[in-house]
Amino acid sequence: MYNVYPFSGESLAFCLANQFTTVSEIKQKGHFTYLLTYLTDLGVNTIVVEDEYVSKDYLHDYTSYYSLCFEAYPKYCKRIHFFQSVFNTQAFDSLVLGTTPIEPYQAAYIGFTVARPIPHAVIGFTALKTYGAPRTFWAVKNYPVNLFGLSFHVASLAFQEQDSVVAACATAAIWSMLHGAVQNGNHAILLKSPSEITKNAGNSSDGHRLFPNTGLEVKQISESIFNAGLVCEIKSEDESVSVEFVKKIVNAYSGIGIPIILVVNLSDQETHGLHAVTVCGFHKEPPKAVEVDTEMSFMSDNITKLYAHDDQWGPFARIEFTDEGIITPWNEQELSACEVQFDSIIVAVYPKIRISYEDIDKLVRAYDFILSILFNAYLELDLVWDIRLVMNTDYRKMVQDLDPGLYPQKLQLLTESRPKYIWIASCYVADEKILDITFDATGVSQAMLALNAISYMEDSLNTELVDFLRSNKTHDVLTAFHGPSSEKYYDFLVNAIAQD
Amino acid sequence: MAKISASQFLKPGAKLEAKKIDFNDPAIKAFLEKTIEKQKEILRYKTPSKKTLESVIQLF
Repeated sequence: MYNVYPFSGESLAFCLANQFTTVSEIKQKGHFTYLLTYLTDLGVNTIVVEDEYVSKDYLHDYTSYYSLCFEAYPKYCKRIHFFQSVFNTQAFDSLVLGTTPIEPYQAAYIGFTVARPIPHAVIGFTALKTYGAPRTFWAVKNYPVNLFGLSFHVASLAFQEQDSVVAACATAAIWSMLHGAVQNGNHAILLKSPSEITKNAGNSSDGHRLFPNTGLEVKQISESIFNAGLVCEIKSEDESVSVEFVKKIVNAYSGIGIPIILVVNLSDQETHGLHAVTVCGFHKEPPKAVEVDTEMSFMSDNITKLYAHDDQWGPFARIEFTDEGIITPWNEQELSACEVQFDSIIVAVYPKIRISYEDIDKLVRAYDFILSILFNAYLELDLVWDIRLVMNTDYRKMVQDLDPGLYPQKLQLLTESRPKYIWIASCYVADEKILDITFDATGVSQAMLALNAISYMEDSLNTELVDFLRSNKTHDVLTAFHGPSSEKYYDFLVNAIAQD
Repeated sequence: MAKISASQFLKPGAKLEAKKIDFNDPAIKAFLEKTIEKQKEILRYKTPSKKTLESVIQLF
């Protein structure tokens, strides 16, 4: 059966509470504060609570752990639905009976959270609508929701908090990431429950038991992701990973729609330690004019905020880059003196993607060197590079916008056989794109990976560029590529621009 | 998408001309060295340390 309540802090806490967790304990949780603010901002007015809801994820965890406890933990959860409109039980009765049209309720539907019947870690499967533009969420999918025969849907990415029994934060981060990964219709990816994800991580290097789970090592995370059908690229430095590099990676890999796991180091190690969050969105400023600088310029620097599922707070939590440092809910709400740093990045990709961002960055720096020497004397602004991994289908959609009268290679670009995943390096001056270079993302890093180049410049400029390249093919210039295919990369650009 | 003309992104009145790169120019030399140094720097991210692989993602 169900109950309908007006939305408030009191009613939300009451609905989340259970026989092991009181209303006052709920109110002390960071999740409660976060959800109350989030739902209030989205304009929620009414809650519908579905009693005795069977949650598949909780059921797996129940079978693996809770059913074997002496305490009789219930098998059923509650599912709490959120609506922007105001209505009462009678109105909802009419809706269920089919005497009221559903469309206004569908338009007002914000999403749901499953309340688990266990101590403290009550926030189960949660799917809530995102905030709107200018934010970009690249790992969001449509979740169909069936409520007493009524069909709703919510565009979101699944979230849940760790229960510290079958799952720690790393497991919760993998779980959300896998939900994003299956959205592209890739049937090789296996959605798993938190307990299955933890089991798939295998034993830790110190042989510590998996359950109750207190955390996973990075290589256990990698193992668990591999067992779900993906492979990992782990990116780290001796110390922390720079903000600029995190932005480059998020910008680069967002195109394939798989959330990225960030390992965050909270400076107060004794009380907090390392923490994993799942990045699924960002706020990126449009292309802008950048003064010529000694450092190479990247479009990823236009990212000012990330949005991540932080299982200790809630879905789509903001990570903001300011002059004072990285601001997250950790130092915004709880530990004002806590310093947040990025420890490492775990990028899950489809196994077919074998060429990493770093391989392409190296090549693009060589092209930037050559083009900067030609252009810098004539430019007031810097060349800005946008490096992104995309599916070929998305690249073809971009090519479809080209005028075939100006770009005679359009037919060939649309019809020739290409790899499923490609890297695109786009070169901008302010908001004008002057060049696109594409690379095979499925090949061998020592080979020549460049596929095509499109120059958006007028023919006279292309002619000068080709003359410049032809007259400067020297050993010194080729050292910028420093690899066995240096000359091929150089010749590729000459020939591709000459064909334009 | 229309093609971009010189006036849209070059300095006013500038006319692009192919020229020879002078690798004896210290500025060019330094630029090349810096490019190679940055390439090596970025490639280091590909190899996670043993410390990273064995660090436990754990909150207390």
